[in-house]
Amino acid sequence: MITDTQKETIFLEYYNKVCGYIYSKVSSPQDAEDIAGDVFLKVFKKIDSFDDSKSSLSTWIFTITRNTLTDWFRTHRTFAEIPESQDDGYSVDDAVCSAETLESFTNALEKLEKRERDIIILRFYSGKTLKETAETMDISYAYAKVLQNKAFEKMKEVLAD
Amino acid sequence: MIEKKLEELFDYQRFERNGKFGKLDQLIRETENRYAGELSDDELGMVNAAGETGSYMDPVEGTFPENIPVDRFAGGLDRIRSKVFGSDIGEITGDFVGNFSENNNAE
Repeated sequence: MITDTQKETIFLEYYNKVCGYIYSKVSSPQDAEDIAGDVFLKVFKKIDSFDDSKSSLSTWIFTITRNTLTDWFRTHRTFAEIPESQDDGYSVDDAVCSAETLESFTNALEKLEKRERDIIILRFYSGKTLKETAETMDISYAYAKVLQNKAFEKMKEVLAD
Repeated sequence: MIEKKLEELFDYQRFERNGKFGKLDQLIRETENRYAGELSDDELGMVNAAGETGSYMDPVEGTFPENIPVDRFAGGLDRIRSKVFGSDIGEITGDFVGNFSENNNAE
């Protein structure tokens, strides 16, 4: 049975991460605080059933954060307003969402040429289409596609299934 | 699928970004600064005349800023903590706030 001190420790350790993630998705600070509160309430409700052999605590809390946010969007937004990244049926892949994978990914991204890295970040972090990315980088669509494929090839070890 | 995996990794990075993955955050900011241009109409809607946003979100990239004022963040921490633990807040909040800016500035 987790103690209040342990709960406090978890809360303080993950407060930055949970809030930072939620604030990146929700524009209202009040909504963000409400959602963050719900996340931690769920974490502590389920903490005794957490199995560290299945995933890290960080990935587990990330999963709860993501799912709580998805539920919130479903309740508070029309379908058209729900961000694509919060679609239904999302399940966090523990093999992808781990500290080790993130570190490997960072190293691989760093080794890309600047424009290849830009393509990846603008496409998959900033959420631009390939056409929008090409326009942002002031290059042709065809060249953007070439750069993207080159980046994929170089990162395939990290990204392979 | 590679595209899906990249989206998951960047999404997870949004959760871990204040931790030990400062390098990835730096790479992202370098790219976004390289192409930072005019704000779209949606982004302009989040910025008032003084250039301040009405939320904790960065007006351009919509992400949690690194240099968020400690006093604004501390208020949120207290409210969330009160919701989670009830009215018994205790002394830890002050220590955490004092450490927050150090931790947030660390790579």
